[in-house]
Amino acid sequence: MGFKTLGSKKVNGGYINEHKADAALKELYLSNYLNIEKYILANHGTKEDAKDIYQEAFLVYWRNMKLGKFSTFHSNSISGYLLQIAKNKWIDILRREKRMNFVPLDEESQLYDLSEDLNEEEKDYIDIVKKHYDELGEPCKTLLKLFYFHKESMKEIAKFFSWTDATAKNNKYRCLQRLRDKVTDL
Amino acid sequence: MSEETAVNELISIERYLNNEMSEEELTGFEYKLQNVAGFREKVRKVQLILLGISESVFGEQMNVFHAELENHHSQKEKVFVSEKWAILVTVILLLGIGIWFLLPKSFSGNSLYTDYFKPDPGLLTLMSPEQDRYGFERAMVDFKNGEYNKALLVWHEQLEQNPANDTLIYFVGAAYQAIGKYDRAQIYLQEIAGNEKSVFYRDANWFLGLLKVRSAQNDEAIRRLYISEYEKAEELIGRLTR
Repeated sequence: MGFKTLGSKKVNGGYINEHKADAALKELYLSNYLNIEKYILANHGTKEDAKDIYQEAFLVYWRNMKLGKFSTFHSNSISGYLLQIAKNKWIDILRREKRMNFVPLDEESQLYDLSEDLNEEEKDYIDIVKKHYDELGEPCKTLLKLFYFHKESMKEIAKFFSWTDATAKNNKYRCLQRLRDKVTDL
Repeated sequence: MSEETAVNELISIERYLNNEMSEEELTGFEYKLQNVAGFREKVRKVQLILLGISESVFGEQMNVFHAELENHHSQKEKVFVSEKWAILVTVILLLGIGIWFLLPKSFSGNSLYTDYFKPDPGLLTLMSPEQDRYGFERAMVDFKNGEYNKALLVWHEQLEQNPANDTLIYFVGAAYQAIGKYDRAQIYLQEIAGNEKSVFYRDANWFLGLLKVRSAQNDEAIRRLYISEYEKAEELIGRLTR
């Protein structure tokens, strides 16, 4: 199996730069929430449940997009896809908690391929990474966030921290290695 | 493995994942992937670490997005203060109705209407790329800019396709009210003011209540204002019953 690129600007295909991607994601997040909240509230859930379920669903979408699962970016299909993930997750919870009489999924909402590129072990590994990243401390956290999430150049990062370009680059790898060690040490 | 070796390995893996390797480098790297035990897993784990960093930051970002949503909703949701407020309003309501029949009217409904009416501020516009939604939101921008007739043109067309859409019905009513076409506004607002399931139920009752104030139908006005639970409803009911 070949590795799909990750962390580069090529991953999403459609985006020119990550700031536009941020704005598009925000728009997508805001415009799809109410639909899912409505479903959760109509099926014994609270607003807090709706938020949790929606964020889980949105993360699945975002992760698959990062892993290059989607080649196109049509908002209609994304809305349906998010709704289906959210419904499935909520139905799982209802079944687990034995809260009955939920609104069943209709045929249309079963149209999307919900398979994920990551197996359970890999998802657990990512959760461990997230935990250690959150505890990494500064300046590593900000440095890695600027580079890997916001796609800032090393030059910009160097300016941000008042470092030389070379120091910024070295520190980035040291921080990444520190995170890698923490995760591996488990 | 020394820190330097580990960092060099990391640099190499990242260059591979980012497609930054030369042909020669790539050949060597892929050979290692095929033939060195555990190397493929190492590469996958680095990929997962990079994904994990982004996911962690994205989780924070989703909370920021959500705070924006909640902030917007809290502007739309009018807070029902307490049971005391409900009792107080009921008492005022009953007293008011009694006093209303005993005392001459000392105010003009029209001036009270002017004092309290401010057009609905509209919804947060997101400019969704979906055609219908884009049209709605484009019109919402017009609505918020006070170009109510322009908004009405679009929303009326959309209403033909979605005659039961409470958002459209409500904002068509709100637009008519803003341009002073009160009879038409009332027709649309009445529909939503009677629909408890609509998120615009309270708003519609507030604006319909104001229209009733304007036409001096005070009993009905008080009922509608009470349902609205708007902050200013208590004050206005007080003035109506004074």
